[in-house]
Amino acid sequence: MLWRNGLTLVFLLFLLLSLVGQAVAGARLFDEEQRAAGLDPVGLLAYVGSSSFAVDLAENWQSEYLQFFLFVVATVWLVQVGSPESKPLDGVGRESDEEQRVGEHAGPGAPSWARRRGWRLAVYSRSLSLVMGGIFLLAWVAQSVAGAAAYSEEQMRDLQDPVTWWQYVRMPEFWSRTLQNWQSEFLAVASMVLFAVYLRERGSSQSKPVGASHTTTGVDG
Amino acid sequence: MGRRAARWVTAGPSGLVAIAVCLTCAGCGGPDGDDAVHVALQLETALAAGQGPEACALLLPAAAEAVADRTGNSCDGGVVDLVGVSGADPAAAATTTAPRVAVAGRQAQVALSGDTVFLARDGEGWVVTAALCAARADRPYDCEVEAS
Repeated sequence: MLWRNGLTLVFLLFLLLSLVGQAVAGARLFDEEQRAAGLDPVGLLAYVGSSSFAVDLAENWQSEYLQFFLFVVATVWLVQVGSPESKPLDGVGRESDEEQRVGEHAGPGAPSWARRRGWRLAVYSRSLSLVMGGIFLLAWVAQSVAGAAAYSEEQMRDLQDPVTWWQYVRMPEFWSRTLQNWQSEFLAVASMVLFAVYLRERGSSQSKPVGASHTTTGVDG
Repeated sequence: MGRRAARWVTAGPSGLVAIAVCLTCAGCGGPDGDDAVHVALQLETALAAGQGPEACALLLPAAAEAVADRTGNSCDGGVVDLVGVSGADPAAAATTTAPRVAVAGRQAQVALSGDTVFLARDGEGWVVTAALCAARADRPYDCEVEAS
C-alpha cells in the first residue's frame, strides 16, 4: 500500500524534515538578533508563530504554486518540440470532448463531473489550475501580510517607523522577496522543459525513453 | 487603564492565524497595544515627575546601562538629565489623550504628543527600548534613551 503512494509520501516527508530544519535554523537566527538587541531569546515555538517564519514560508510556497499554475495552463497552448513535458505538436488547445473523454465519451471509470455537461464539467476541466492558482493567491496575500508585520517589527527594532500593509506591498522589500522566488521557478521550468529534449533519465516518468530521438515530443519514459 | 489607544498598524500575536484575522481587521490590536501604551505613559509620567528610579525600572537593561554610560551617572540619576537635552516633552506626553500605537510581533511604537517611545516584549509584558526620541527623515529616530 505504501509503495503505491510512495511518490507523495516521500515528498511529504521531505517537506516535514525541511520545515523542521527551517524552523530550528530560523529560530536560532531570530534569537541571535534578539540577543544582539539586548532582548531575551524567544525559542522555537514562539518563532514558529511569528511573522518572520510565516513570511519566509509563504514567499516560497506562493512561488511554487505559481510555477505549477502557469505550467499547467501554459502547456494547454504552448509546446516544445522534443520535450516530454510538452504535448504533441498537433495537440495544442483544450482538445475535443472525444479526446478528453468527457460527456457522452466518458468511460466507465470517469469521474462523475466529467460525465455531466454544464458548470460541473467546466469547473472540473479547470480544477487543477483553479486550485493551484487559488493556493498561489492565498499564499501571496499571506506573504504580504506576514511580510508587512515582519518588516515593521524589524523597523521598530531599528527605531524606525513601521509600515502599513498598503505601504509594504508597494515597497522594494516586498517585490524583491517576490521576484527572487519567481525567477528561480521560471528558470527551473525552462530548464526542465529544455534539458529533457536532449537528456534522459532511464525509467523516469519525466524523461523520454533513452533511445527516443531528440525530436520526439510528448512521450514519457 | 483609562485611555484607549488609537491603532494604525498592528500584527498582533503574529502567525498564520493572526494573518488571516488581520486581513479582515486592518485596525485590530488587542490588549498588546493597550499594555504598550500603559508602559509608555508610565515612563513619561515618571520622567515628567523627575522620578529616575521609576523610569529606569521600565527600561530594557541594556538601555538603562547605556543611560549610565552616557551620563557618567547611574541610570536613576542620569535619565532625568537626558530629558533636558532632548526635545521631548514628557509632561505633554504623559497626558496624551489619543496615543497612537503600532504593534508588530515583539516590537511596539507608541507615538505621544511630546515623545515617541519604542518597546519590546519581555516575557509577558513590555520594556522600553528607546525614549525621548525625535523623528528624522529616512533615518532612525534620534533617541536620548536607547541601548547602545
